[in-house]
Parts: sequence; C-alpha cells; structure tokens
Amino acid sequence: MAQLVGYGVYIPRLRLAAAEIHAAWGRAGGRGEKAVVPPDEDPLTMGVKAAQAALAQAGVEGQQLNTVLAASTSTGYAEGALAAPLAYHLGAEGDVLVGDFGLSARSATAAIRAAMNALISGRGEYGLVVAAEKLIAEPGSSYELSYAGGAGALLFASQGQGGFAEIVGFAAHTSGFVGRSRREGRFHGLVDERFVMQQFLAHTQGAVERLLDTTGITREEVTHIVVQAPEGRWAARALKKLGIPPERLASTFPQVGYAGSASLLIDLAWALERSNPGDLIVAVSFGPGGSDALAVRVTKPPPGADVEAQLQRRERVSYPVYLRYLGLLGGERR
Amino acid sequence: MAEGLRGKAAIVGAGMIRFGELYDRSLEDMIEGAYLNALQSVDKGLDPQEIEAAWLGTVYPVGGNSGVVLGHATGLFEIPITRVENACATGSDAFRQACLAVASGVYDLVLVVGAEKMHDEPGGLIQRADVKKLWMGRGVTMPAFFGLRATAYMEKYGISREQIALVSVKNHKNGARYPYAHLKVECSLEDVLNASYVSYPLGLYDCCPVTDGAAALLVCSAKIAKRYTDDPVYVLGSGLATESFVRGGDLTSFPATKRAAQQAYEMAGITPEDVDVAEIHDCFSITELISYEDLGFAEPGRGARLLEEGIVELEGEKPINPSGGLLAKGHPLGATGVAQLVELYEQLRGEAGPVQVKDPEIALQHNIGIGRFATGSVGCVHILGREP
Amino acid sequence: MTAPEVWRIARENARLVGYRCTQCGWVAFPERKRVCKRCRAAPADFEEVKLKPYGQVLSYVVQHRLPAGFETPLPLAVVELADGPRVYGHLVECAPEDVEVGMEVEADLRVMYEENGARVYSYKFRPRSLEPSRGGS
Ligand SMILES: [Zn+2]
Repeated sequence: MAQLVGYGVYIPRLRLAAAEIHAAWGRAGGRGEKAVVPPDEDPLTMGVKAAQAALAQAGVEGQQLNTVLAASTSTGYAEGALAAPLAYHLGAEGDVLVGDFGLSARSATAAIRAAMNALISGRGEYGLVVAAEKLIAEPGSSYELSYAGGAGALLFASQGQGGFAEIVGFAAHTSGFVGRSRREGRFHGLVDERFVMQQFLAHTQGAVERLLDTTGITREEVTHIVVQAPEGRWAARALKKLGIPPERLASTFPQVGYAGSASLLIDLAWALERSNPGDLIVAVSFGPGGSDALAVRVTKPPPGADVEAQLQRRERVSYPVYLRYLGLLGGERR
Repeated sequence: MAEGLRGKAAIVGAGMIRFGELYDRSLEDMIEGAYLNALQSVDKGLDPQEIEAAWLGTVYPVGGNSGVVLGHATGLFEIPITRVENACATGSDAFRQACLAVASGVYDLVLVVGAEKMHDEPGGLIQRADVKKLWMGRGVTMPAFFGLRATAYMEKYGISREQIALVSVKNHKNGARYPYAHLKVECSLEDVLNASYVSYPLGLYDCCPVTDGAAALLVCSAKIAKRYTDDPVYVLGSGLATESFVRGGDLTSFPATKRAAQQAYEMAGITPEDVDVAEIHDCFSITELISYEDLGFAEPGRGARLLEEGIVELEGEKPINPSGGLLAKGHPLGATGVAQLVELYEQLRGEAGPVQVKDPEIALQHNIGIGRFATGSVGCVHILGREP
Repeated sequence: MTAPEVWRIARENARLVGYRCTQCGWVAFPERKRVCKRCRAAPADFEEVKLKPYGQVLSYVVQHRLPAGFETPLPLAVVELADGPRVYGHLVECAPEDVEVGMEVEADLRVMYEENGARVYSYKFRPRSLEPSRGGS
C-alpha cells in the first residue's frame, strides 16, 4: 500500500472561548475554545501552508507532486477549484492529477483513498491530500460553539520511496443518510441532533468494525484513534460503543473545535506527532453519506512537526471581533 | 553641450484663485478665474489674441482627458492646447513644457494653467488609494508613502517627531498670512504632536489638506518680455528626473529631486547658496525636511537645523514656503506647481504683500510626484531670477 | 489588478520567482523584464531566482486612515527580500507597536482582495520565527 512520507497542519492562531460565545447569548458556562480563521485566510491559504509543512518535512519539492487532491466543504465557491490552485502555489503544474472533494465533511477520507489508488495504479511517485475548512455557523446556533477552521495535509509516496508509516487498511460505511447540510450561501440547517448523533455512532462504528474485520487488527492493537466528530462529546461515545479505551482518543477538539474534513487530518497529524514505531492509528470520518475508516501503521519514528506548537500558539479574539472577521457583523467579508 | 534654458523664457503675468474647498466653483470656473487674474496682472496689458499656445496641468480627468477643457474655460480655442499629467509635478511640468516651447522659438507667448478639482468626489486621495494591487501600492496611501520615509529618516539620523513637526508649525504660520491659502490657522508644536495619526509617524497636521484650486502663468520669449512689463521674471533653469526605490538606495532621500536640482542648478549656473527664497514640495512635513537636503540647502540628516535656527522662516536668511506651502496653502495636484511659481513671481517682483521676503534675486520651485502605484517618483525643479 | 493582470504575474506571485540581472545583480520582481531598471542593460541577461520567502523591514508606517475593507491600525512596510527585491508588505500577526526597522519577516500567503467574486492571493509578512519556515514556497 502507499507510504506516508509527510504530514502537516495549519491551525489559525486566533481562538474564541466557548464561554465567551455563551456569555454573548446570555448563557452561563462553556468549556474549551475554537480556532478562528482571520478574514484574509481561506481554505486555499491554509491548505497551502499545511501542504508546505508536509512537503518540507519530507524534503519533497512541490514540482515532484503527481497527484494533488483537496477536500473542503467551505471554499465559498460553487465553482472555483481548490486542488489546482493549491498545487500551483506549491510548484506543481502540467501533468498533475488534481481532484476536488467536497459536499460532505466525510470527503477527506475519500481523497486519501483516491490518492492511494492513484499511487497504486502507477501514477507517479508522490500524491498529496489536503483538507481545509473555514466553517461559518449561524450566530446563536448550537453549531457556533464548535464550527472552526484549519487545514491538514498528508503526503504519500509510492512503494519504494521509504516513509514512516503506511496505510494498512481502509473500509467504508456508506448509506443514504445526510444529516447536517447547507445550501449555497446559507448557514447549516438545524436538524435533530440526537438523531444525527445516533447516525454518527452507527456509521463510525460500522466503518471501524469493517476495518478491523477486513484487516484482522484487534481493538487492543489500536494505540490512537481519530474520530471526526462535529460535537465535543460524540467521539467519546463512539469509543465507548467500539470498546476502545477513552485515553486512546487523539483529538484537538478542545483547542481547535470542529473544522469539518480538516479535523480528521489535523487530529491524525497530532496522533502521528506523538506516535512511535509499531503504533497503529485508526481514523474514522463522518459526514453526509456515512463514514470511512483507515488504519495507519507507524513503521519508523515520525519526523518532527509543529502540531503541538500550533495548538499552543494562540491569540484570543473577542466575540464581536470574531463576528466581524467572519463577515457576520456587516461590513465586508474578505 | 546643449544650450539649456537660461535667459530664454520669462514670466510676464501670474494669477491664481484662493485655494480651498470650492464646492461652488467647477474646474472650468477655477481655470477661468486664474486665467483672468493672470491676464489682469500683466503690467502693460496683454490681448488674449496674442496667446499662441497653452498647456494645462491637471491630474484627474474631471474635465475629460484632453486639453479642450482649457478652451472651454478661457475661450482660447483654435490654438494648440496640451494636457500634461505627471503626478504632483504636473503643474511644474506643464510650465516646463511651455518654457521649452518658447525657448525653442516656436512660440513667443503662451499660457500655462494648473488646476485641480479635488472635491467633486468625496474622500480625497486616501479614498482613491490603490486597494487591488499585489506587491506594490496596495493600501499605500500618500501619507504612507511619505510616512515610510519619515520612519526611515528618524531611524537613520535619530531625528524626533518634534523636529519634523517644526515644518508644519512654520508653514501654517506663513499660510495664516498668505492671501490665497486654504488653511489660515496657525498651529503649535503640541497641536501637531497631539493630532490623530493618519499614517504613523505622520499625524493630521503633518499632512496637506484636500484642496481645490487653479493658477495661471503667461510665459514669453525673454526677447519680448519688456513688451509686457518692465519687471519680468526670467527662467534660469529647469530640471526633471524620475526614480524608483525598487532600484536600491536608502529611503531618506528622493534621488529624483537631487537629479532635477542638479540639472536646474547647472543650467542656471548657480549653487544652492545663491537661492534667496524657495517654494518646495511639502505635501507632508517630512517631505520638506528631506527636500532641504536633496536641494542642497542642508547636509544629509541636518535639515532640521534650518528650522531650529530660524533660517527658513519668513524673516530668515533662506525663507522656504512663504506661502505656507502645500501644508497650509493646499495641494490641488495640477495647480500646485503653477501656484508655487505664481507666488515666486510675486516675491521676485516685491509684490508678495504680507509674506514678502527681503529683496530676493533668485528663487527656486520644487515638486515631487508619486507614480506607478507608489513605486516611483518624479522630481521637478525650476530656478527663476530677476535678471536673465 | 484585473484578472489578466494577475494572471500575467501568476507564477512569480504564487511561487516567489524573480529574475536577476547578470550584469548588476538587480532582481526584477514580480514582473519579468527584458531591460534592467538599475543598470539600464537593454536587453539585459536575466537568470531566474527562486526567492527566499523572507526578508527585512526597511521602513514601516502604521496606517490609521484607509479606504473601506482594511483593518486598521495596519502596519505596512517596505520589505527587502533576502534576494534583493523591494516590495510593499502588510504585516500580520504583529502588533503595530512591535514593528521595528530591520525586523526579520517571512512571507505568509493571504487573501488580498476580491475581484468579481474571486479571491486574489498574495503574500503578507509576519515576524520571522526560528521554527521551520511555513511561509512562501
Ligand atoms: Zn542590471
């Protein structure tokens, strides 16, 4: 299967505390914070930075990329490519396969699978997957507590290029379930969250169990698990349901919040940064259409990254400034 | 070696209108006013039929993109009219073109008008700053362009904001006495320092106002000057140069001014010491300070001494900007250079009234214009004298 | 800049590519030149340079008055890139009072403006960190 040779993230350093959102709406309490994307950043700028980190880590030049796949549900464009300009910024052009994955927060795992397929089928030596989001929730809605932004990137190489980890399994659990959805130019529609959570648990469980079944990996072997969950407490419930101890969860949710498809790659990067040879990381996505699960076997000490450093590099913003930055307070959205 | 311009062209009439927020006067009204004042200033009279060609210096296309607006404003149709645009050196370049034409012998008597309607659109130059540019000029307003020089200048020479502010204090003091000035209020050092920032380190009083205005000059061949007046003012030298900081060099000087001054001094056969009075470009306080040095009035980094020692005050040895400069008189872009020359014409003839300096023989006029999205500048210098 | 104007410098802008005059060493950026602005060589011999994505603040201002669409106070600098080109740059992730002449800064990809609904990207600058550079390309 494909080798993992680099990973990187970009977490905007601005943070908004949940307590501050609650206070603005006359509610008490609130734990954790979320990353706020400044007005002059978007999935492209964040995706490029995450990808550059992955390339630099691997010592690979942008022009060596043969495949660049990007996932995002929040570019703001109904038409307007993300993968191609991203590749161009990195130095790749010409015979470069690009693909945009969107319309579901699940799509980062689909992009990973597609990149692997491209490498396996002999499409060059390097494939890059980037997921980048700038989610904007309706002020006052429950989604506002978690919707955030950021980017993550994984750089794959074909067999024989070396690498510190490999994907050893992939399983899908697809259904007709949609759940949270959003029309162009609108906020997410509010749905029955208990219903969505049940579906979340069913789909993530379905995907992970199929992964374990098909690879023969046991629950005990899983050293880190990444669960792409739109709400803070959902991942813990999923682990309980899967019978995996809660301390195995690798999640930046308390610091970053929910960054859609990017959350999966950010959390996976965070797990990689803290992993050792022999570790096995399971990551499961969730979004409209279901879940995908993948297993990553760490074979060598992963190269150093700055995920933890970016989590620590924070600057607080106030609620009004946050609203202004996301263009929710009148004025111009940039 | 080319012959140069010295003693070939003369000014025999000069007029302007009072600068200000002239909401009730159109561009053409202003040109008309300056033109009539210039005609009426000619000692022995001048028939408009004698005017053979005209140059109009204006930046904004308020009157369209040609010189035709000057014909509409003055009735001078049928003769050649050329519109000149060269950023804030527009007016002085229009004058320069007129001088070259007269010196070449093609025309004997021509008209130069500089005019700008700044207030037909709101917001002044800041609102017109380039915002959709990459690498150059994005959000680089004029206060920023010159503020960048101020920061570099303060850093390199250890100059304080107070020292720069002395320019504003001096020029507002002069402007309060000058009949044609837009702003007629004096300001204290504290006023300058306590004003809100426009582009740090420059505050409100470090910046010229947004002003409407027009000025006009009647220029003729030196050979026939006495036909119009016994007291003509002669053009001794003219220089113009361009530069860009992207080529290198530090940010504490304007090489275009240096080059233009060098050309003008050589053509006139004089040195900076010979200059008795000058109208120099003070769109911002720092601009005047740096220009002292570029024009050779002070050593690099020592310009503030001219202010501290009173040398450039109205009563000093080398009065600079007796009109209050752009800071107080105002800076209607295309009108500015021509208005500076109008004022120096009056100074050399002893007609400058409340701002008259003592017996000047030689005067210098200077503009700096910023172009190409704040990445390039043009400098223009003229030297005038009582004798050819 | 209009879409064609941006497209003409797309490569230089996105990837920080400049062109060095082999006669005098001056580096053209972001436009591709055939004559040298410094030594006047015409035609000049230019070699392509992959610009290092960092440089130094030559001078700066803090913008307080700007047209709509800018966050103020905005620190704005003349930056001299390590390979020579001088550009204007907005400073980000830097408090106005912390800006200094001589400060080391690195390029940081940002959305610069929108033109007909399309975002146009280029680089701003932020204080250079000693951590592995993530800016530029
Ligand atoms: Zn050269």
